[in-house]
Amino acid sequence: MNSSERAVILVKNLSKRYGRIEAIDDVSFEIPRGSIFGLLGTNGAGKTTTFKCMLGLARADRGRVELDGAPLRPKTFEELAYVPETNALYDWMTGNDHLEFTRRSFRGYDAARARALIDTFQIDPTRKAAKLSKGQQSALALTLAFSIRPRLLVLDEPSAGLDPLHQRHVLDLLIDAAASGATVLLSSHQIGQVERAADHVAILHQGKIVIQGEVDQLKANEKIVEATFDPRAPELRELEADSSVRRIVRNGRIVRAFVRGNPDEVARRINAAAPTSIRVLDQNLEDIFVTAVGVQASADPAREA
Amino acid sequence: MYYKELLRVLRALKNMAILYVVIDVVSAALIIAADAQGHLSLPGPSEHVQIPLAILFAICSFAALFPATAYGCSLAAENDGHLALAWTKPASRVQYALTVMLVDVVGILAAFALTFVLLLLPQLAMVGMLRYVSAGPTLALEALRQLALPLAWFALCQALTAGLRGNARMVVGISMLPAFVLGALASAPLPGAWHQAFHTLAFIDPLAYFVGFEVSDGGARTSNLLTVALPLADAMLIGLLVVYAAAAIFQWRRLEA
Repeated sequence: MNSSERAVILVKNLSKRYGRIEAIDDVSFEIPRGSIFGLLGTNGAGKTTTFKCMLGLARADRGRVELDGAPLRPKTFEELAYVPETNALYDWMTGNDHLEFTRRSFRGYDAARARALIDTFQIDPTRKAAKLSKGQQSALALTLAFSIRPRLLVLDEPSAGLDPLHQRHVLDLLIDAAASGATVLLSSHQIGQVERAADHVAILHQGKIVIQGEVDQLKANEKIVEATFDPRAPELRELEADSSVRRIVRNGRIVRAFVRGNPDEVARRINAAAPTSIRVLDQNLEDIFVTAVGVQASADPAREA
Repeated sequence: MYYKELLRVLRALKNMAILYVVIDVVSAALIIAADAQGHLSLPGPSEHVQIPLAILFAICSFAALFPATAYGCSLAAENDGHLALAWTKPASRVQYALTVMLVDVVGILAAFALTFVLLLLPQLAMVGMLRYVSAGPTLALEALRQLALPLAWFALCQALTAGLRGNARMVVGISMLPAFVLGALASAPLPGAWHQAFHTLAFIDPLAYFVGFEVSDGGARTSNLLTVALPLADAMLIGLLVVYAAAAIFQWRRLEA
């Protein structure tokens, strides 16, 4: 069985333009069943457009999407929950009204689970959506999504507006859903959360996927060679020509080379410049993200390999 | 899918019912006050006075235009930030739109009935005119004719707004006045070319199909602003309803969230 056959979500060559702006360009990825897939990107990178095109909310100019081996159909939504980035709740309806609307629309609605989530998120279901805080609106949208016990979850910034405690609840819900066989696709600016929950990630930049893969494999393949010099870090220009060096950050006495693949050769060359200390560190997902989108990171705390 | 729209329709109907009950209570209070001062003079039994039900239906039809206008923005209301919720239900876009519109249609019929039951009948009863209400042989046809008018107007509102985001209420609110004026201009004694232009244009205006009555001792004589035979006007009105509803759904299908 190849990877496409295992994929419960298959996105192939998806492209979408808004006027002269290429919102997404040739985006392709596959999500295996039961996994959590994080889609990362800066604002305007194309995450929401990707979701909209996947779910038929926007028309893709090119490409195809398969969910469970078939194109999107109305019936697919019986087991698919989508939480959009912006609040889509009806202001004039109460939480209870939204729950009832969901109950009448989805066969898989689980009233007990919905009540439990309402309690967990401490939402007053008798209040109109307009009267709920932004965080509670997000929590209500998540409650509606999880209450149908979906097999596919597409969550666009699900933690937006939630306090840290409820963000933790959401993370637990995602992990629990995936453990129960559901497939989760989420975007988030909370890279730390994605790192904790997701087993696969893709990074979108200016509408294109610049890197994707299993989180552990990406992290295993991406290292930082960190060297301290006295009194100042040298230029180390020869490293910039090295294709395995993704970027170099100099910060006073410290130089960090972000390396894809084996860091030994890079470490050896830096060592030749006689640093006072040198070490190889793992990159976290945020490092990988920053490198991928080409943004110079500010000084970050060192982590031992 | 129908539940959200049902809530919206019920809320509007509740407000309408409250308004009618308030009017009834005020009317009753005024009648009691007038009676106490000896100023009340109700008509006595007469075989010549008749109030055809068709006239009451026409009043109900006019009253139902207002909820029809409000419900006529229902698809546009979804396009005001709720498509992500609406279009991720297990139903096609067409099915969703038809469900919403069907609930609205039921709401318009209910508004028609509410006007009859909560406003007209109590008002007539209070002034002792209820016994003069008479049903003609074409009662069912008259009822359908008067129902078709707000329904066709509703469909036009949907067609005008289904593709809009945010300003749909303003569009239908503004549309009502020219629609009434067009109907009036179509029957106004204008110079030939102008009359012909307005008369032709009025055929696509549901409000121009409003059926008027000329009441005499012999009963009520019906006519419409378009001066075409009523059966033909009925068929055209129903045709407009279908065309406008189809236009609304066509636009709705092309939307993007």
